[in-house]
Amino acid sequence: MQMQALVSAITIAMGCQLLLPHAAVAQGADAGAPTPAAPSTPVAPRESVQPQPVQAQPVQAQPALPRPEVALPTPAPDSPHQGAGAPQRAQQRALAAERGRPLYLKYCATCHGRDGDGHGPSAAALEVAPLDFTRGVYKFRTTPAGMIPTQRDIERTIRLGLVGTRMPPWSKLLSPAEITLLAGYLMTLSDRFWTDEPPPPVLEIPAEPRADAASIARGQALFGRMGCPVCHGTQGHGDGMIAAALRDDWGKPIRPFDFHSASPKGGPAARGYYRTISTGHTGTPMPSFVALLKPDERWDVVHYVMSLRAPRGVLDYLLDPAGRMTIP
Amino acid sequence: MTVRVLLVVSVLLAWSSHAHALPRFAARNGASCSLCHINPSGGGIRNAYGRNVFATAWLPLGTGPAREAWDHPDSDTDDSAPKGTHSGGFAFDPEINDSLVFGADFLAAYIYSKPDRGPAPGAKPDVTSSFFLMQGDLYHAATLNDHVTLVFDVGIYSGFEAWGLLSVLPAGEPNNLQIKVGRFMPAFGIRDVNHQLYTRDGIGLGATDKDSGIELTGTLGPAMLQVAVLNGTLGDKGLDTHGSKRSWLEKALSARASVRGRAGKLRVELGSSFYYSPNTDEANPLLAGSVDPARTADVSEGVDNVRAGGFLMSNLGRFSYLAELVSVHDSFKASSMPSLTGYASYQELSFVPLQGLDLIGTFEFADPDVQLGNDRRARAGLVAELFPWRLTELRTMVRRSWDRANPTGGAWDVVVFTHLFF
Ligand code: HEC
Ligand code: HEC
Repeated sequence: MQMQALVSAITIAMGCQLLLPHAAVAQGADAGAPTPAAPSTPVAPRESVQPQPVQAQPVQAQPALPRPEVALPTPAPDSPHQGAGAPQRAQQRALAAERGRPLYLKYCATCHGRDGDGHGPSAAALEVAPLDFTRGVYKFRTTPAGMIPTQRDIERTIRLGLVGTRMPPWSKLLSPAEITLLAGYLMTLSDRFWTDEPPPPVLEIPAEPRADAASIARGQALFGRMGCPVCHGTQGHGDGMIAAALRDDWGKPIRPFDFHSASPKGGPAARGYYRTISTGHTGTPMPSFVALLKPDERWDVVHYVMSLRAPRGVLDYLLDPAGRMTIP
Repeated sequence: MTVRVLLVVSVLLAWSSHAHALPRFAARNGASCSLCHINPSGGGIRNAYGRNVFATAWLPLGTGPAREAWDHPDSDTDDSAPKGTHSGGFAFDPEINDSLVFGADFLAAYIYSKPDRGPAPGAKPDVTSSFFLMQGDLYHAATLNDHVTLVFDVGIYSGFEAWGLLSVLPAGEPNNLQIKVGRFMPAFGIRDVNHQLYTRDGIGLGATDKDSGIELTGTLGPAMLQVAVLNGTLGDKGLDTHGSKRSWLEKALSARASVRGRAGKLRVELGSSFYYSPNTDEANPLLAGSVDPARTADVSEGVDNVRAGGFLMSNLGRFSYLAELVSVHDSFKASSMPSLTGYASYQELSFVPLQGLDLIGTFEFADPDVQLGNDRRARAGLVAELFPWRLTELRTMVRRSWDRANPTGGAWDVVVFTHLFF
């Protein structure tokens, strides 16, 4: 059993540099000059990642029409991805900074820091440290590993919060327009959002196929073959061989997700799992599998890991950590 | 009649002015009071985290998204959501500018209190049934820079607090030294919301028991030590004017030390506190009843007050348990006066069935004079606390007390209040 896991680990490490796909990006992220953000994991040609169409439409003016299944990036009025020239970009950036900063200082700075560096006055008291926005390295993305997220990605995190952490869900506390302003503001904190590069391709999440026994069985096989157990453990308890040694890019120990618990940080829905498995969590050891697994294979893996979720008993309810986000 | 009115007024005053601090929230967050309050000892005006994050996102009912929200995570019309506080219409913001912030605690209450017996044998018990303003505190804080904050609190019942806080490193740094100068309540034990507790008001730490002096707070990761030098003139006296009776150097000393730790999901904070005030002219309130009324003159010759206690704050999932035990000791200068010792204790178990609702059971016990067997008292309470939306608390409390030394015996109390805070 252990041998098999080790072999998978080595395969992964050698073949795809997946174990540390994040390191290079995170270091380059801070450089200051508008460096192109090189994806460390190549996007597989067979993948249905499409270049993101560039549209300029003010978010506030949008009617509440049903959205397409695919999360199309919706550039905010001051979205950087508009192919504008450098002076215009600088102007847009300054405007977004000015508009979003008051909200950011009020609701976010106490954890994320006045300058967005993750060193707010309350940060020391949190079990899971807040992110450093100045590096432009985001975990919860529909874009390839190492690349900047879409504005929509950032808005989603702000709206729904991160389960099990103290990053609150703001959807009922702030208006959609305010959340857009905040996301726009976070983007002004890193130069990576303001380069000449074309916007990164966006992951398409296809409709979920049936989660039947066959899919789960296929997913289980892929789970072993892809080396997930090395980190997440053979039973998926987050206790794999190298789990204890894992650190994120900030040098903090990080625990692989325990699939038996109620929800990952990115939420309890299947598409959240699909997104994580596809694009990885840049800044952490969690790799991107977009190049290694076809979309339906990824769904199989999702079905398998979701089948591990233990039903929540009374004891789980009683021991829910208070003051942190739990699942309804 | 006037006696009756006085009785009612004294019942109400005893209830009035909670100094708002909820130590069980600190236990639940596994953090010190300063996560949510500007004051390192807790209570009073909240900081940006307390006001805009904890009281906004983690306290009220239903701030989390519905489960389905993750299935359509990119639709920004969550119809179940009350619209954001700022979107359209009137937005109330106590943050005047980058450095100036207001805060407040307003509590309007209804109280029903029925003692077991009347004031005289055969008399009917004096029932209190009244609406009243339980607390009105208006706070002002000016943050001059990362290191200096000035706080001013005017209370309807609680007098005032005014102090400056100098932080050597910016507030929030895990290792820090903070210096508080001014008029404030000395740090001691668990600073509970209910100042009426045996372990608060009962031992001389009521809402008005503020003192002037200097307090140092040192934090080293999960460990905290607070040491203060104070006038020793608790209560509404502003200056140390004991004149010839005590030397000008005779000041009160107070200290509080605590350390937090965790084992799995269990979070524990253990601490102890100490207070020493030499040569005062009052016995500790807990012991005052044991002093022979004929000897009050002897008391004013000088009393050394000592309070020492230990406390525990813990959290496991949805449960928090707090406990405190304090011993008070007075030794009198008058030669023939025997010294007095008493105990007061507090325990609280709380359960959060869902965010926004707290169910709390409390038990208090005091033995004011250990040498007397007939003066013990106890109180048990049940509290339901609801935070229906931001900045609002509704609380109902039913409490039963037993008091051997009191001629009217114990009592049943019911208190319902609305609390507006920001
Ligand atoms: C109580 C502290 C706290 C507050 C307040 C807070 N956050 Fe966070 N936030 C966190 C933590 C902790 C994380 C990191 C969780 C992780 O990476 O596992 C986080 C992560 C994020 C992320 C995820 C980035 C990624 O990796 O994709 C975004 C975006 C974010 N926060 C935005 C905000 C915004 C905007 C606000 C203000 C409206 C805010 N946060 C307020 C604690 C906080
Ligand atoms: C190199 C170690 C490693 C490997 C291999 C790995 N993971 Fe992870 N995974 C992690 C870490 C670390 C986290 C925690 C990330 C965080 O908290 O931000 C994680 C988190 C997750 C999450 C939860 C994301 C969230 O929102 O909290 C899922 C789902 C997941 N991994 C699935 C997988 C699957 C499926 C595989 C195999 C196909 C896999 N992982 C392989 C290290 C790994």
